[in-house]
Amino acid sequence: MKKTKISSSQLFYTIICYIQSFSIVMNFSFGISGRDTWFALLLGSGIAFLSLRINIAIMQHFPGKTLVEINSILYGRKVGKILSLFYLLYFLFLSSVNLHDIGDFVGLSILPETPTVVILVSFMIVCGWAVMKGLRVIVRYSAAFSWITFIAFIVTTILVSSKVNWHNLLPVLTTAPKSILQSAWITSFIPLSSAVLQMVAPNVCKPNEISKILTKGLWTGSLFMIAVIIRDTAVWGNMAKSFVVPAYETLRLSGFSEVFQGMDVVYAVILITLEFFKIALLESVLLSGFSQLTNQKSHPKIMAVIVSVLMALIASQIFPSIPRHIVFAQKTEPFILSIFEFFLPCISLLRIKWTCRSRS
Amino acid sequence: MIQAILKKIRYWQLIKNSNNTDEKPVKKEKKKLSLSLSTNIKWFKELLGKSDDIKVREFTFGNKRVVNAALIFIDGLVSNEIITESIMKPLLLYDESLQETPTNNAHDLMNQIQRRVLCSGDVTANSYVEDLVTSCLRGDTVLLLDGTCQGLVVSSKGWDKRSVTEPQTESVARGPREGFTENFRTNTSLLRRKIRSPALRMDSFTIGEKTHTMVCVAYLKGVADEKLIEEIKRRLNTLKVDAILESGYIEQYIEDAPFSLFPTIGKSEKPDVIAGKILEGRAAIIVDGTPFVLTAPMLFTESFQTAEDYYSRTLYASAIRLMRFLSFLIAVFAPAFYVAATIFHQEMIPTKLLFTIAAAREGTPFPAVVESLILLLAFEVLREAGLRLPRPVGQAVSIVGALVMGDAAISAGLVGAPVVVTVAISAMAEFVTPENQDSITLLRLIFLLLSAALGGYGIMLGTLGMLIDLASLESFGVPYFAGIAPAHSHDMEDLFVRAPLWSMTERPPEFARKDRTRQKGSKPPFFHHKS
Amino acid sequence: MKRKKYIGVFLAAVLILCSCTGCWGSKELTDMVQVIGTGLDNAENGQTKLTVQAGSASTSKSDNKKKSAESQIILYQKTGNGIFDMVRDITHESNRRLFIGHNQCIVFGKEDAQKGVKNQLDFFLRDSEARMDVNILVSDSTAEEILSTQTEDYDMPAVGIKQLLEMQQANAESVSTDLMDFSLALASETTCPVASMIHLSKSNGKPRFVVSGTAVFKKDKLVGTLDEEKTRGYLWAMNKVKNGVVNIQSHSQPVCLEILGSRAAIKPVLQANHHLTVHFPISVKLGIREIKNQDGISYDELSKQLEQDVSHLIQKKISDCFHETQLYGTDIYGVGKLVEEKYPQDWDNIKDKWDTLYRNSIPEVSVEVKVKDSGEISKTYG
Repeated sequence: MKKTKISSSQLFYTIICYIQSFSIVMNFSFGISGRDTWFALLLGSGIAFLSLRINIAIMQHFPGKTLVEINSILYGRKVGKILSLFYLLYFLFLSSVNLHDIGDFVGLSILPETPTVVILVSFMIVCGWAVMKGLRVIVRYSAAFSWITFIAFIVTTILVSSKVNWHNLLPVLTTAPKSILQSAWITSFIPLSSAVLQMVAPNVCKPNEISKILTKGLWTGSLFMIAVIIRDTAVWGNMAKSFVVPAYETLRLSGFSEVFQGMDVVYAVILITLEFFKIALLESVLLSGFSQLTNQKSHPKIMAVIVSVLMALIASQIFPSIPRHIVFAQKTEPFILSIFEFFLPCISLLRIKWTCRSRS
Repeated sequence: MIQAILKKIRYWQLIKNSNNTDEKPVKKEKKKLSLSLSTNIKWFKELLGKSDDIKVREFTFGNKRVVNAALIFIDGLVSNEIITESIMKPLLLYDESLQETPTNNAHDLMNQIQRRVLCSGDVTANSYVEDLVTSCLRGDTVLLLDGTCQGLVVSSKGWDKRSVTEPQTESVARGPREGFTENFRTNTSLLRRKIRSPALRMDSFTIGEKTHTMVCVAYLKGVADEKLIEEIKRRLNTLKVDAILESGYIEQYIEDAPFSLFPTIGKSEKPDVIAGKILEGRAAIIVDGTPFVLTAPMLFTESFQTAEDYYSRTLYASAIRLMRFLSFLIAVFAPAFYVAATIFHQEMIPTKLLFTIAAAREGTPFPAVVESLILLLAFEVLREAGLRLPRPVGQAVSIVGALVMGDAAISAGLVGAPVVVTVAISAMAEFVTPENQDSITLLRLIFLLLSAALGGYGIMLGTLGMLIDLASLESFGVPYFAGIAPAHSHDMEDLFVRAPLWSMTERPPEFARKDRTRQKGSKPPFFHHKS
Repeated sequence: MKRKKYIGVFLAAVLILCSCTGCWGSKELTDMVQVIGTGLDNAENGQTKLTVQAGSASTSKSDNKKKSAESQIILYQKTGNGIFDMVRDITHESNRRLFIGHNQCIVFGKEDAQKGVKNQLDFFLRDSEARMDVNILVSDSTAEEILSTQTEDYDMPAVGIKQLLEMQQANAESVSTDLMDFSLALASETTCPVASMIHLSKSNGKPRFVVSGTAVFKKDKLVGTLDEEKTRGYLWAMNKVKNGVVNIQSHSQPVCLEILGSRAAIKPVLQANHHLTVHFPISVKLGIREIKNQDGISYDELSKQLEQDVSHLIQKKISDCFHETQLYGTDIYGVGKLVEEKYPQDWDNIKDKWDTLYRNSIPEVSVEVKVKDSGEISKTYG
């Protein structure tokens, strides 16, 4: 099985990019927990950290092997393959949903009248081409993208600082605990998904550093997201609930002097670039999983084209409207995700412990 | 239609066959000289033909034993002085009785002439007719003796060559003004004068069935990667082509990605630039007949570096380097941004400027994209015309171009002033980094079309595509976009800024794997002033 | 290689086709009309009259180059129920589409504002082209009158209005609200939004815009106005006074002081019997800029006297303004939000009765004034 080698710092920045790209969809949690979303995200990071530890434990038991291989070993060839197939479908689902988000976002912010199919197809052309070049190439840019996002965040926060009103964050923790928990449940799996990392991480040159990098990456990414949410809440207060993409609205406000006031497109482009990174990552993970499933060295190039087209088609049809999408994301999606991110790894870990115990 | 398909199929078969035949080279039997002088001369005349400049000088020399000999050379390629002073004179004054070792046959005589008589610096023996003909064509003189099947090749090159002048494509404000010339030996000597280390190796090849062009690979042994040199040599050896007229031919035959927009082999006309690159661990390819020397591998950031960067001081050099990157971005993106802003994202433009642009657009009939395309085309036409026209007419072209294209077109209402300004800025920015000219021209066009189709989103997709292409490009095994992707801290010292010379203590690891230290114990200047 | 070439050719063809036919989202500048000002007025049958001021560069070929942006006001008016509907309706009369990305201000007519503006602002919040930094103004009469006037100062009057609003910081007697502040206040349960008042005045027979006074909304209906003095009181309390002039009588002579800086806070204190006291601690720095007939009085004495007088003046202004808002029952200071932050447990009980609580609350203003300098000279000569 041909493995592409990526360095540890690239993996670190990959995780951060992946998490940062979810700033577009923070509306799901804002709608429920309003002012205290930052706390919900903190809780969610804790839950995600837990599931990450489980996954790391599994990975440390099988060093250098990706998810698909681990499944085959743990559950036997047939059941393992079926399980891996489900995982691949899950990745397909994830990437289609994210692609749909991009279509919505672009249609909302910069190209209102273009049909979504055009946006998605043109996106997938570039994405599919990037995936054909390989994971190594995509991951090379992770450092650059995440640093650009950091700098953009700092610059826009400085520019928006006149409109920031820290009183918008107070009073703290007055929303109902149920809403906070639901919000935490959503944010723990939607941004901070560890199954993907499990596919990518074994490619790193130095395997003993994996757990340290993953943890550091997770916490850095989450802290960044918390900072973004705190800033958005400080600017908009309770109004953040009514926006479709609160982070983008804050970015629209930032600017100084008339010349730099209309820089929405630039910020939108940065957000979309992050999403591109995420979708390229998901698609390459899907394809490498597929090639491992069918015992091939690397996926045939035609698969990349097929998968890209499939994703574009699914993404354009999956949700009839944005409000339905929001409802789905708030109610149904966390359960689907938690099965793959949390419960299945739990079962795998238990099985490992059981086989270890039964052997000794 | 069917014929076109059949033609394509035949073409692919041809390529497949040529790949197969590479594996079994057919050895040709080489023809040896005969013992009779007249037969040899006849063969030479057959091969070279009846041209006026092929000279055959038959003579006899020796007093004890008279020997027939012949000199074959090509007039114009040889230096008459060498023939007269170094070859004819010593031969004609040759007194066998003064020699210590007597010679019994013509073969021994040939050896003695080679070792003890001829005054020229470079004398080699050869018995094969083709080789002797080739050396004749190179400008050497062939000496044949009656009775021996060995000939002597005496170097006597002396043709008209251009003197070493300032290169026209790379002028500097500070630094040496010498440039390579078309003469191979001059080029290698210029390089030797820059790097006087015995580690500088120059491995020569002859490439081109008809042109027999001399090509040599220059590198520093122990610094340059062995695998790189092997790879370059391997690629050069596989070239079985008709002609190599310029280093561009070699570049196009051996480069990694012929269809990429970015060049993966660098070139330069200046010896100090090439010497700098060799010292970093790269290899230089010198081609006879052209002053442009190739360097391999090449990184993307090299197209933003000039020699002057290293001769100027840190702060200024860094600022100019940053400005070059900025100009590249302006050159590529300016027309695309203008079109995207005025067609899709009008809220980006400040209100007052918007009305000015709208007023300009009111009077013009074409959509913004067509206007930009027309002006870009006009600019390319101007540039090409400026290159090709003879100098006396050049002035008229610039006046006509500036006035007609710019001013009158705006007044006539064909194009608007903002578009002219944008295209002019883009064009001027392009000349800051002339090495990037080919890629900038194409990229500018692609981004313009993309932005017309999908606005800022199109530009973003195009940028991502370009970045992916750059990141996946490799030049002789070295990632092309090294420094930005993958990013390493040691690359930063010469990427966007130019760190002080005393701090660049290590060679870039992509090229020099073994010998990484450039300078040990170099301290910043202020340490030297301690009394 | 063949496949790549064909794909490349196909893509290039697609791109060229797209760019030449000008696809879906592309709007040529010549196909649009830039809306720079919007006005909403009352019409009969509960409908709204929309007045749109558009600036558009005229086609001038003969006298361009220097005056390339010669523009004129173009007005569009429609009466109807929904703003979005009306905007599209205008295409019946105009050969270009309206583009509201550069909208500078939204002016409400007085009657329209009294009926409630929330429904009308909904369009501006939803539309993707509209921006959040549009200024909200209330006209003394009708919005149509403001937007249809061409003043001599500005080429494009709506842009002029926006610049005028930016200038108001210098006099600290008017507010300048943008859509973001207005919506934030609307979204809050207790805070009431404010907006600037604008009217026309004639000087030398030519009309001019004058921005003075504040319009006070309860929820989204206009309930009252504050004049310049009271607006100054509001701005003092909201910590929004950065520049301005204080006129005071000292020893029955007028003195002009410049405000060099001020810092203020609002601290509500909930008493045990559910009565509210609102503390306004303010510190102000002033500089003497114009004295009349104060010879013989030393600088120290004068500054002490001035500090006392100005302190009383500011106290009075703030209290006056607060009482006026209490009359209207509008919490424009955001006191409710501060109470919610400070007393989160009690808030659930209080918030239904907030209106009465606010009306009965007592302001306590404590002002600290410092006269920092007296300009370039220390005393008048002559």
